[in-house]
Amino acid sequence: MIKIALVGIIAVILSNFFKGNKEEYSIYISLATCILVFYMGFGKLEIILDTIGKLQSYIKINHSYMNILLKIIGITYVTEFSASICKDFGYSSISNQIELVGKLSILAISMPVLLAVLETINNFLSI
Amino acid sequence: MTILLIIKIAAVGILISIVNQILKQSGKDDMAYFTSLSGIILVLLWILPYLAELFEIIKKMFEL
Repeated sequence: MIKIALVGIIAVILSNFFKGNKEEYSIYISLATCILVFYMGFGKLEIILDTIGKLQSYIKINHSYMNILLKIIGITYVTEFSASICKDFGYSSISNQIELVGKLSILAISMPVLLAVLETINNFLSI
Repeated sequence: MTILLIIKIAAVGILISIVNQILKQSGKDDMAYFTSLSGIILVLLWILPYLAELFEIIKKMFEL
């Protein structure tokens, strides 16, 4: 964790150096730092996903729902990653568009779950 | 894939801005424009593979 903090601080200092005249290099440095920090935090994410897989074997959750859950997490991460980078450099309109489409895709993916809930409610009521 | 990448980008940025200053002083403005363009493209070529690999990992991990 300390390494990540150090990398972040060093990158911010370097990126601020280019804030004056060469804007594009500060964009590159911040993008490279985001990727680097993800690579460092990747191991922790792997552990969480493995435990989720093990949990499934104990609790009989339908595999498709867990799949949808993982997809939603993935989409959220990608959307957040790109939207925050766009917002970081003043292009909030693009980042808002990315977030909007991210929310739409999450909604689209979770449609089957909604149908399943309605079906179970129907079953209860119709008995 | 260590901090070397960030330092390399910073080094390219500094070098390009120095070369630009020199070229601007000596009057060759179009050359200055080309060098800054080449610096941008060079760093882009460094970063793009990592970005593509990042999204590949996410796609594989979350089964997107």
